[in-house]
Amino acid sequence: MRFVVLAFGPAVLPAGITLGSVDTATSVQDRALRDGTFDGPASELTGIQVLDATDLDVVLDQLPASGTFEVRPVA
Amino acid sequence: MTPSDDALADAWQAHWSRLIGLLIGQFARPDLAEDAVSDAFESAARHWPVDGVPTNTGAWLLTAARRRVLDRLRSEAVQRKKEPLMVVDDEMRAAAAAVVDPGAHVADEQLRLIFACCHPAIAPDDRVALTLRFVVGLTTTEIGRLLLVQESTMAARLTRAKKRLASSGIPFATPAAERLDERLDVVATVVYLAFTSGYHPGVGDVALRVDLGDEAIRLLRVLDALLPGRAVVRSLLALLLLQHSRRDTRLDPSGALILLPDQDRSRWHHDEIAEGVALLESLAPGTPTPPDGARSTTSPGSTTPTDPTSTGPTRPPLATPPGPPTTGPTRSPRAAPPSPSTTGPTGPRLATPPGPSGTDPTRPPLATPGPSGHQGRLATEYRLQALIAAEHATAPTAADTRWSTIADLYAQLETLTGSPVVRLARAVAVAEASGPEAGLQLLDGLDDALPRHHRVPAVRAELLRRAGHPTAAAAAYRAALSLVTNPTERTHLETRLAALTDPYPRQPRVRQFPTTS
Repeated sequence: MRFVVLAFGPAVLPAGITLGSVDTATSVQDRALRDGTFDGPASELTGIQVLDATDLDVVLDQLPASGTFEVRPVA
Repeated sequence: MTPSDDALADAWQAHWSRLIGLLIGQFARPDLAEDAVSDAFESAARHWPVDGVPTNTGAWLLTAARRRVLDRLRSEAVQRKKEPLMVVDDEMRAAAAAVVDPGAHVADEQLRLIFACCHPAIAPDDRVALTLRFVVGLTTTEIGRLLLVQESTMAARLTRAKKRLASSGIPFATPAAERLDERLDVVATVVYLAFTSGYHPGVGDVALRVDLGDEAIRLLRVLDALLPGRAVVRSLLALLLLQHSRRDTRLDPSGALILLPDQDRSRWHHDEIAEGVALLESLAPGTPTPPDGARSTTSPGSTTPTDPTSTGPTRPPLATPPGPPTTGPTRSPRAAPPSPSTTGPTGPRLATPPGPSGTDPTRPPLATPGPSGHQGRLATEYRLQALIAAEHATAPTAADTRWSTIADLYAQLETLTGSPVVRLARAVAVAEASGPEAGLQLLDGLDDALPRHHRVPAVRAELLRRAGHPTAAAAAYRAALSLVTNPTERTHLETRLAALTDPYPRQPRVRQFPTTS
């Protein structure tokens, strides 16, 4: 079994990934960009992917054409 | 002003955004770059009056600014105590040495800066603020005043936007070719917003901000030089030049609005009008070469203003018969089904009306909506707006304005944008061309679409007055007064209302509305 743990607030996972602040978040809705975090309910979280890219545009290019996403750099 | 003051002002104009661009390109820290460039100018203000103005002010400022960035990075590193100081120092030296020639990549850096500030992942309002700060070099106070945001709010917003620019992964790069046009549209929108915020500040005492218009035009010239031949840049440049050419005549000495028909046309900037018209001719859809017989304030090939012709009884360039290969035939293959309201081609505004009325029943219908050729939607929108502005700018007198051509152009623009604001402007043009009743019909439903827009009742009032319904007109003026925020426009509306209730009106001669002033 493989688990995914999400940390909230000031909690820090040992050897985990720390997300950048909400100011660094970009929301994507069917390719349309908006600054800030995903503003729907947390229960809609359905997937996590970690990838390396030179900049935001490269990440955006790899996203599917439809769907809702939030992109944040790792702090 | 002392020579060093002049040098400082020139240097600000010439170097601010280049320095910011260079430093962000080198250090990827917009926040530090901005502080460092500000510090460098402050240092220049202290040193140049004493030591004399350096020969190469840009290099002087770059050296000073770069030193400040390095100082800050060093002290940040010390604070973090993450790395030994020596290592950081070596990195810094290597980084500083990497940029030996400040001139080589300046243009690229500036372009990257513009695209970064206007990245779609930044909130639209913040794009404008960041561009005004980093690219134009306005202070936070000035930006707050222009965008009607309190200084403290503006400062907080800019801080957040800068942080976002630095940390959210937004590339400091010219977009890839396949995305360039789309991103250029975003940039153009930012420039357009910056320009219009100077012309329609909305509230407060400032009726218009000429300097913001200057800056917007300067920015477009930079863009046009860096990315030559882009339709959206050239269309917008044409539009802004044509609008801005009237800047000296829009207000009287007391600050009251002067409507377009009453403006002193000899004081319009005819060189800018000529430039705008020439740009439009080069942009005529489907025709790489300027159309023959194009209406222009200048003789073909000339870029000098022709003031004399504008005071003459006729418009010689206008009356020029169209050359055999008019723009019509080239466009007709793409012509859309004729719509009753769009009888003129897009270019026609520039392309030769046969008579003074400006209508030409033989002219083929225009390829109306949508992107024309390879020009994008936004480019087409700006071009149509510029064509309308050119009609006004090249009419020798207000009475010579070709309203039916303008009404046609507005109809195309409305089809393209679906904008109720465009419909409002179209109603004005239609009223001028076909009478107030025709204009009033087009106002139907606009109150719902633009509920807080004082110009809807203001236009209705004017049309009702002309149609001979003074009581209804007065009510509409009062409705407009309850919505208007700009004191200049308020004064204008009050004057109109007072004239309406005057039993002996002095034949107010009004052909134009604030929408087109």
